[in-house]
Amino acid sequence: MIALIFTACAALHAITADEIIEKLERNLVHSTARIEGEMTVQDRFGEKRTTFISFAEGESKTLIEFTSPEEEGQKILRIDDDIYLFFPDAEELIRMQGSALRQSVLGSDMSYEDLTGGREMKDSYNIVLEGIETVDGKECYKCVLTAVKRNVPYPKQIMWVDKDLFMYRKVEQYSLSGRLLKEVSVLEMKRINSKVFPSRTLIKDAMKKKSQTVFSVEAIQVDISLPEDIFSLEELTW
Amino acid sequence: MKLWKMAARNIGRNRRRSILSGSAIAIAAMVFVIMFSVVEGLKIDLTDNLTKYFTGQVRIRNSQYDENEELNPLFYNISDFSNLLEKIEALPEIDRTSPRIQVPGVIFKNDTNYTTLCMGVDFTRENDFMDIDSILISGALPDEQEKQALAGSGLAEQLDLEPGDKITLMSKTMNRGTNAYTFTVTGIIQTPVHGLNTKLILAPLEQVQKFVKMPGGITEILIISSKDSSPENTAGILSSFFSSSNRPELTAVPWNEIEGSYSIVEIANSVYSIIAVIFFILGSTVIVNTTMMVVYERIREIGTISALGMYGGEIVRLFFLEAFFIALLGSLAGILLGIGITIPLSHFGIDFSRAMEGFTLEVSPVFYPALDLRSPLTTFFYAIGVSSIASLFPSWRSARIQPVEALRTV
Repeated sequence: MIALIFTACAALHAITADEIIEKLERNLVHSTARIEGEMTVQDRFGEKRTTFISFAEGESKTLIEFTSPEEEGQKILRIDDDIYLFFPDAEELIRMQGSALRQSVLGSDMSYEDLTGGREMKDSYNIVLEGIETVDGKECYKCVLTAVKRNVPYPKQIMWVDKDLFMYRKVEQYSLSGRLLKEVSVLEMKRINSKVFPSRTLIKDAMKKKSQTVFSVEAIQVDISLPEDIFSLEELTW
Repeated sequence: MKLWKMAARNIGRNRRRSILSGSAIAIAAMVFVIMFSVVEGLKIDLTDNLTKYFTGQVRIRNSQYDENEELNPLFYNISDFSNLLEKIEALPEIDRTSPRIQVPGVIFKNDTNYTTLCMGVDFTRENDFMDIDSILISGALPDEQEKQALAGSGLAEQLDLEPGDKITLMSKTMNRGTNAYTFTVTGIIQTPVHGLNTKLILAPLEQVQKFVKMPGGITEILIISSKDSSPENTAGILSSFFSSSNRPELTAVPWNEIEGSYSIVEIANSVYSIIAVIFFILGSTVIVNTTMMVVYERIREIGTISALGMYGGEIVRLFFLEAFFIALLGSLAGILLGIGITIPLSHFGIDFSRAMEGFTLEVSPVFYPALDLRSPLTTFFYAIGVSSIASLFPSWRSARIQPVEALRTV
């Protein structure tokens, strides 16, 4: 009996913070993916909906094409930490750098900076497992991430990672001074192949009053073949 | 002998002293005239810049735009403005109008973000309103059908822009999206307001409407009243017009009631007034000090004439008249000198551009003093009054001293 208890305890404490994050990242990253989604911004002036199709390859390449009438033709390309914007009315690509990355994407609670950064959180953060807490009725590992590199969007993050699914249910993102900047809550999760992904996510920018954004995944395909050069500047202008 | 003849002769007897005394008064009077003219010129300049480039004499906006102005809420715009503008311009209280769209934006270039203020204007009307021809320093006006714009001189310098170059601006749209638009710069403008020159992009109204996806809408109409109507009266007429035309969402506000703009003028007025008062006090101190010293150094003389039989009251009146005559001549000379200096300055201006680099005030870097005849007149009577009164106390005190004591004074 005691041996069983010890075994159970050993199993419970065997997982490390790094391992939790590794499993989380395995869920988040696909070799390729195509997502059709919708972004709904709710603020004091009402609600605004934007639809998009997003292509991704690994953790460092993303192309987002907006399909709603107001933004039709606009695109965002991310290659590693570089962000490029294409607007049909502009005769040149806009490269977002420095403080410009903190601007919000289409008035939402997500910034261009949120699109950057690799998924390799172990390289960028010191991760500490602080215990287990319940979020939305589910047991979650509470991991505190403290940046060890300067070029990360958020110097400190707290993640509540679902114990069974290894997907975050809630994330709080802080500035260097400890000020809460963003809150991310996963409202719904789905499975595709053997992986779990957040199908509805709520983001709140703590610096904005009465504002929140909901990202919904309407359709997803993973590990598909994507056109060559889809993640190129030349392709962006087509 | 009459006292006034004695006073005039005393003035002539010691010319050096009289000239020194008169000069002090003249310099003070000259400084007053110039100072008040500079202050008046600054007030006129500030008001002119505010009404021409920022607010008009009356500003028409959607009331909800004003309440949320810091968020640039383009959805609270003035819709169907062409129809509305025609009716407004038919009112006798209206002299000129300027329909505008104001859009804060950003240019990304060479790893740097440049904050801009894109102003969509009707160039035909704007040429009358802002007198664009006078501020266009190179190039030509944009073609309203093309994606062309004028750039402020400060912005052009930062971005190394010349006519023919292209700039891409990014901003929010009316429906809270984002858009970027490329303009070809056709010319460079330089307004008197330094801060505006570092961020201004002036583009055709129709192009800016396409940029922010706001067809048929504008954010404001600026008004210059006719000469027979004050801004307050014009604003009142317009408010009644909006009520009767079923446009209750629109408000017309005179420039001095617009939050932010009039407070700048009020602050400026206070600062200028304090500066003027300080100069006034300093100048008055000079006058009083000089007059009193002139009396005190003549105590022996006072003792002599007292011993010769002049009564105390006569002595006081004598010195009062001397001070009065010196002040009359001194302040007249100072005022004429002040006017003589102010008039050319009011044409050529005083260049503070170097001192004002980095400032974003709505004040021109080159000031033009404005001569207001009230200030020389006020200065004239003030200088005479202060000098004359300043002589009373020391001469009264001196007249009370026993002649023997006064004669002993070294």
